[in-house]
Amino acid sequence: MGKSLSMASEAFGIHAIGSYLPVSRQDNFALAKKFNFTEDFLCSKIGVTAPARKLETEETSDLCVKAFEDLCTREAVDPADIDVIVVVTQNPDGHGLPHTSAVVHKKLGLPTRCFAFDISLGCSGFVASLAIVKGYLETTGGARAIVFTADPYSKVLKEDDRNTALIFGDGAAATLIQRTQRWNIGRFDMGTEGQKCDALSVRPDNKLFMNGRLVFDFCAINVPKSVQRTLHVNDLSMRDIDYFAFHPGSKYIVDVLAARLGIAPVPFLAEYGNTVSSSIPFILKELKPAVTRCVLVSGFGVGLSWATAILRSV
Amino acid sequence: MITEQQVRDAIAHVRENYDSQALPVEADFAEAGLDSLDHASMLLNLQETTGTVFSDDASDLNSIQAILDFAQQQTPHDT
Repeated sequence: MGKSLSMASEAFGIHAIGSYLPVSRQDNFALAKKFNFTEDFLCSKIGVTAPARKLETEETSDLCVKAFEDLCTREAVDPADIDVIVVVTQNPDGHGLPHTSAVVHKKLGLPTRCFAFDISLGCSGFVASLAIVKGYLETTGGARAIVFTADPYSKVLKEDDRNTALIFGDGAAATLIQRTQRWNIGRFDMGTEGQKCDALSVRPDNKLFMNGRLVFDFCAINVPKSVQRTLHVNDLSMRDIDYFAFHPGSKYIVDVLAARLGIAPVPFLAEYGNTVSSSIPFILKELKPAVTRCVLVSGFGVGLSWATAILRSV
Repeated sequence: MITEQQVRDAIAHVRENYDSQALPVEADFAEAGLDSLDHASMLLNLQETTGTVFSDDASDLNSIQAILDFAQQQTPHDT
């Protein structure tokens, strides 16, 4: 399916994905009852029934290491061959200094020539990091990168906040980027509406605040436009897309985006919670590049920002 | 300017099989079975169909009448 668009000159892509979901789960049915939400609202609108919760003792870098261990069970990865790692997070280890990627670098015993840096983005972070890492590899002559996404919101969630307590889950992914025939990275569309940055923010009490209506408006208005621009710059049309991997902020926003784009409903696969920047790699991990050849990925949230791109197997 | 019918149409747009015509103008949306996501969708629909811009915190616009009152305040008056 799709056009015979060559991406040979854009050969860096996603080669393999490892992931980690903490075993512990929050009982959202019980919490929804406490908030006076119906089960129908929980299942048909929120879509998250059992968000994952990391152990109190697990740090963000620990989640990254576990995702890396999972990656190594799927693909032979020699740490000596990694040119750069990034950690996409806004809930870093400790106080954020040193950067979490440096801690991961230490825990994995990576070589000193391997650079490490953090990317401070939320739900748009995975897609945006693909552009950043691809550019890094191209300009440094590197061959291999790992994008870690690990943003455990349980560090900042307020248990009694009806707007956020049911939605977010902890998790991490480790995505191996190299020249590949699996999913090549196409062109991007990204943007930020900074005037509304406070709509999703950590407040002075170190707890997450979300103005749900503003975030909803931002996503419902901007993401469909970003999808159209992304298709245009990749010389594709809606019918060329085999799968729309929208960030699962909630089941409702995914349903609204599908409706506003006039496409079939997109399955909501995140009963374990909105894992922020890890949510899209979690979805991609379930897809088979040989079958699902052309994927539109779109992350959106904190900033408020969006990042959309095309992934294509060849 | 927003009319009562436009609000009812917006409710019907976001909630299939919901009898928006039967909803009393003073009825609280939540008590009438419209949740916070329905509310957000309805306000977005009204924004897109009427051009009305709602404030950042529009959660208090919890009835048809409250929306009509808000829109009335936004409408420029002749001097």
